[in-house]
Amino acid sequence: MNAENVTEKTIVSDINRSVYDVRNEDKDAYRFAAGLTEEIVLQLSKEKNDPEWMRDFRLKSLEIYNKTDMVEWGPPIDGLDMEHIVTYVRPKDNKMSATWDEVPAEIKNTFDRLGIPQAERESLAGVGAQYDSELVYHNVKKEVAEQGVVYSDLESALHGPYEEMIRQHFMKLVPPTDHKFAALHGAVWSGGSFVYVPAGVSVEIPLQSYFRLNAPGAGQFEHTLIIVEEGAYLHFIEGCSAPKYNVANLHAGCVELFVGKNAVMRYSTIENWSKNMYNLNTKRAIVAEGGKVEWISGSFGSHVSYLYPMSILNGRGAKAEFTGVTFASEGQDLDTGCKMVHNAPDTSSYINTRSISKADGINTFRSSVVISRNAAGSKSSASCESLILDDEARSDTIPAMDIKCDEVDVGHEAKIGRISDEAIFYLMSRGLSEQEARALIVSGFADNVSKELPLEYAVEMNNLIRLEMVGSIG
Amino acid sequence: MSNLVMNQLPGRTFEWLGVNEAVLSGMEESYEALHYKTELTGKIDCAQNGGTDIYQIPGNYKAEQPVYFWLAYDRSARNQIEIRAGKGSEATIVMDHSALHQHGEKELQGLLSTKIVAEDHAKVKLIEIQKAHAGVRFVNELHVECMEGAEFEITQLFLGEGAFYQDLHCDLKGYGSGFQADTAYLIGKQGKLDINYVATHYGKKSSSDMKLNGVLREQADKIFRGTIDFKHGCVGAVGTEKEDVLLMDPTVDNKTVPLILCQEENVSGTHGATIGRLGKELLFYLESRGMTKTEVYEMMARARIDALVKRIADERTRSAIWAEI
Repeated sequence: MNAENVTEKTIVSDINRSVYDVRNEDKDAYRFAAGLTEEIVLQLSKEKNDPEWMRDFRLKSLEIYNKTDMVEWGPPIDGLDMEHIVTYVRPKDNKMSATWDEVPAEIKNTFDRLGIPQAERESLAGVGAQYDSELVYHNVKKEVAEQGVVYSDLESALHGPYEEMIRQHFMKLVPPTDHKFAALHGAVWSGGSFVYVPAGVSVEIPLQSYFRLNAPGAGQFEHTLIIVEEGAYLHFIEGCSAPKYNVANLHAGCVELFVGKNAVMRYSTIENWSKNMYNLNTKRAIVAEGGKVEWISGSFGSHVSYLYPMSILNGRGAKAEFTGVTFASEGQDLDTGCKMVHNAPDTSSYINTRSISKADGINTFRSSVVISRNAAGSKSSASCESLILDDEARSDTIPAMDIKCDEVDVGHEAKIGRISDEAIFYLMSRGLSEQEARALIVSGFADNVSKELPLEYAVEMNNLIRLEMVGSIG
Repeated sequence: MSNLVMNQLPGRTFEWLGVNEAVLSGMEESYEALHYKTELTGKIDCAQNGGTDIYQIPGNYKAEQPVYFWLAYDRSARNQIEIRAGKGSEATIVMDHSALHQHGEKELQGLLSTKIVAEDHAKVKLIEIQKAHAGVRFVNELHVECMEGAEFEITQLFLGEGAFYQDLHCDLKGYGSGFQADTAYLIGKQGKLDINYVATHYGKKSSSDMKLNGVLREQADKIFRGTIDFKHGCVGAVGTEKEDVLLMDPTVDNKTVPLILCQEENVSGTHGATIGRLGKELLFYLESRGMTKTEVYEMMARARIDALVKRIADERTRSAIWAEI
């Protein structure tokens, strides 16, 4: 046999994923019928006690959804049948609380296992916890609230003094006409957070929202709306997970960030949905003069993902950074990346991504950098690297650049390859097993993201990488 | 009149970018046969088969002089050419399309479809010069197959204000087969350049290398799609692509879409692109030597074309290009 064909595969048993896979019986939960009809949308609107404009918005979005075709690119989503997706599930005895003791015990135990209350005590300025379609917990530290920072669930905010602000911003960045699942979101959104940071206020420690989807065959459609005023700073962390079922689950959330003049917004995500999840999420930021948005993204879960946070640099000198790592393993088809739109002079964007593929996992890095005619003096730099861990995996890189202005500086580079045998040999000669050596190299490969995260989250991310690396020697 | 869809991106992406394919509207329904002149060398024979002109380079024959094709575009016309390079043969082919530029402002469409098969260890070099004035639309499709140890090199030069549509697929089927593209372009006024290069690696230890250097000015509109496609089993394959684009005016439109598709673990693929103006340090240096900014840009634009022409080994072809530019 030719030497280059020889590979040996060591099988190592899986690590227990129980912390993510714990599932609660939802027999007492209140669920809508599966499918998507006008009656269901009206029922949801009534359930949410929507203002009239929101009810009309939902109906209009449904109309757009029914008229819009699915895109002709990206991973197949044949296994997703909206006729079998339940768009609203409310846990039993649900009432949003500001103390964990009031959260139903079963749900509280789930969040305890995920470490959310502990993280709140140790390192967060506020937490929102969503379980299926409803927030079960929302709280913000008193000293942060005293600075004028608003962190609440979106539905409560809709019925308070911020209704008009929400109306002016809600789905203005991601209109329902954007794509089919943006329209779906507009029709059946439920839950999510509203954050308002007044001008000049710096929220020194992060806020976090955690989304847990427990019900089989359900969809989660939370909406996150964040407005950071002039000169303010916010770091927002988003986490998500679900137990694995044999039926398809759907996540079609939406994130809209409005970053004011000279403001800075950092949005970090560790996504660990179960591998029966269709993650069709839309995230977008618009950045005013001198402002900056930083996206930190770790994607580990889902069966299929379409996820490309977009940054619209709309003011002179606005900046955007996207730092991401995606790990696709068996049964996963993860299509991730970002979009940068330079729409003002002297704007700059920086993209730094890593992707890792193993087993029959498919990774696609997809991006677009658009520099419009009025964006003279703009700069964009992109670097994406892909690692393939075995000969069953697949990794594609599909970047696109559209440059309509001469006074620019645009650079792009990408690399694809495998872990070098020399590096593994060196680490093994230092006493590491082959599995440890590979896990260490992959963790290092993904350090562009982990070094940008708060320590606790970096540790969690590295644990996820170690967990995914099990059985990948070959 | 009909539409022609070509230059399809092997991995589709966001529709709103308009890069997934080229759609040519207003294509004529029928064409006359494209006339061309050849200057064959030595043992190379030509035969016809169903409207395709087939040129056979015998096995182990090493042509000392290039094979020249001068293609005459005095009206809308099309043709199909096939070149078969036998095992161990070597040949340089020059295709000169500069006649596209020699008929005043006449509007015409030219279509050429060329297939090249390089048998085991054959080496084929193709030099193509495309120059067209406004009103000319030229569609050039090239499909290449490289067997074991075969090498295909292409040098392409695009000049003028016409609309150029270039589709090039190189299938690296054999062990150790190789593909190199060395391309330069200088497009101005309302010229359009639409390139789609696809290197598909099937063979183990196959290699591909695409280098493009270009200059866009005035309202020029260019898209480069470059794909390195590593198929399952192409163990040890290496692919690189690099594009460097100099933008001379604020009204140009440049699109660059460099893809790497990979189904094989043991490969190495890289791509890079730099787009925009000259570096500040270079500009400062040359300005400090007494040149104006405009002179620097004109010199650097010319240098990109000159660098490619200087790499062409055939003196006769070099002289012809110097005469054109």
